[in-house]
Amino acid sequence: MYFRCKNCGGNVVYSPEKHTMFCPFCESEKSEELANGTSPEMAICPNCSGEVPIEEHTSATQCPYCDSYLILNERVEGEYTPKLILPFQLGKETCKKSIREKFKKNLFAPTDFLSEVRLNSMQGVYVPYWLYNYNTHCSFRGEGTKVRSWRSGNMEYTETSYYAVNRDLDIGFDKIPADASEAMPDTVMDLMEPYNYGQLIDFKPEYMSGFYAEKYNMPSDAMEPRARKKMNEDAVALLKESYAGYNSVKVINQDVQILNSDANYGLLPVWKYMYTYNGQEYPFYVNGQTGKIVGEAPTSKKKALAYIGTFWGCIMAILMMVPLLAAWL
Amino acid sequence: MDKELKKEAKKQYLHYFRIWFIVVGVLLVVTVGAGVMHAMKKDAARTNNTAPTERVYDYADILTDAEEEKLREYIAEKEATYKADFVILTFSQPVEGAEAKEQYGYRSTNWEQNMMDIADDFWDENGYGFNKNFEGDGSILIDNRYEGQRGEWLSTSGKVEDALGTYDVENVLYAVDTYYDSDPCRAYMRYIDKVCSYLDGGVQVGAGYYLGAFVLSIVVTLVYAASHLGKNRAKDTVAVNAYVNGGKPMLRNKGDDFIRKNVVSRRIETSSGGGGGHSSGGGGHHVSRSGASHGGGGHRH
Repeated sequence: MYFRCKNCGGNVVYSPEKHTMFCPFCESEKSEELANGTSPEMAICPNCSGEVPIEEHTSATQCPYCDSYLILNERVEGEYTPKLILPFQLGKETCKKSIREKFKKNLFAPTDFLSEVRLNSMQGVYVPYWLYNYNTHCSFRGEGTKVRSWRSGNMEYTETSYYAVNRDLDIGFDKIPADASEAMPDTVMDLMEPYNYGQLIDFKPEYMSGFYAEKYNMPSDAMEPRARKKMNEDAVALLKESYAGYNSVKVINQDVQILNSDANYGLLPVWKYMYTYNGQEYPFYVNGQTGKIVGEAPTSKKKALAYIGTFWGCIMAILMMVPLLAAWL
Repeated sequence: MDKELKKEAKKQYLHYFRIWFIVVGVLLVVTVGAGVMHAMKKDAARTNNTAPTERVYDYADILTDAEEEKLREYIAEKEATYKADFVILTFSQPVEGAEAKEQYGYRSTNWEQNMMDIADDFWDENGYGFNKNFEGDGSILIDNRYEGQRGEWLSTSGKVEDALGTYDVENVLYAVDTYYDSDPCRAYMRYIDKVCSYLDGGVQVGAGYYLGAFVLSIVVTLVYAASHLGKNRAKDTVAVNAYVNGGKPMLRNKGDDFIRKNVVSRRIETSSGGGGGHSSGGGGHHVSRSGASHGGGGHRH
């Protein structure tokens, strides 16, 4: 699948800034027409007929010859049809600005770390997620204490009252995300959260044009334990909130019972910037909706030594000259 | 690419440290200028030629002739370098009490007041001062060896008065005290050395300052390095109710049933305490009977 501009024949992409389909060649909006008729594997670019390398889970990619964005039909259809998609809300320029802003204080990062050339290599990727819904009944039984103290004369009194604490909560969890991509580290994807689901919409392949994407790598059953763990942690925290106010609480029984659950397949937006320094890769991920950045800047030892040394030299020079000046002036 | 990167790195480096380099550069220029002016001042010729050439008056006769000569030579050398007069006066006469006041015409019965007057008057009446008659640069150390009223007094004038604060005067006197009884000649040489060190500019900033400056610079640099080595790690910002329908759970049952209570008591221990302190004071700058400004101080033994 490939979106061609009706006006100029260029590749139409989804513009996060304009929130619509946009032709970067003739600047037309909503001028796309679907161009099919490629091989089933989409190994041949429908625009330039170049051979496009396709990886196992790729569902959208860019032709390395003509830079057209291609969507693989069979990987967004049938069992791989996403139910939901959260279209990119932040464009590449906004993300570049965010990264520069966040890492501007990392003085010892390599000189080209925030360079235009390097940041231009940033790619927008739709990451496959399973979004889990749970209806739960959560119960808590425990013994709570409330302590109060007072003074009378030269005596101090401490009264401890004991209570039987019971709570029963019904908690509905909506769309707890667990990424279904082997290429994306789970810890990083967890830190990408939260996404604002208010902008989740029904899937349309048009939103994928202009970006990379994967189909889900693992079925929902495989990812469910991750989502269940998150749900359990949140349920226990909410139970704890419900009996706040006690000085201490001893847990007697605590239970999170799942009444029913289901999962939906969705695509969530992430900008990925891969910086390589001294043979090591430093990946950076930006939430394509909120702009939250996950990644650690590398340190150039040479630069750090030069800057720290110069700083120390300046401080020492000033401290050495001040008493001489005080004596001579 | 590598060349361009290096060029860019150099540009960033110079841009980042531009203020620092300007500050250090300006300080360096001012310091060098001040140093040159200071050196020029040192080379100034003597302008007070009315003062006596004698610098060592050993009326208490505690120095040998050889020691007196040695001191004269040493003072001549230091005077040429530091452009300040150094005078030593030893004597043995009472300076305290009503009897002494009446006998010698002191204006006070107080040891300190009279020692100060003797030192100031000797300096003023003889018209010492390297660059100006009695108000010029220099100092005099008087040493009274009268039994029961022994002690020395330092009187400073001109740039020596400016260079020596109360604390510095004390340091000079402590240097003298070290050899006061055992080797008076050495004690007087210590007086000259110590005063010269304060005139030397920077020398009075002892090794302690440089050590402190070094430690301070290391600490400040470590803070600077740490603040820029921060990893900017992302934090978990998912609220506990982020995925909860409606933002909050539905409370079906809430029970807080009182079971029992217990009370414990304890006696409050009271305690009292107190404190103390000390006070200190001192002075230095004053005007002598002839109207000249002097600094100084003394130690009684």
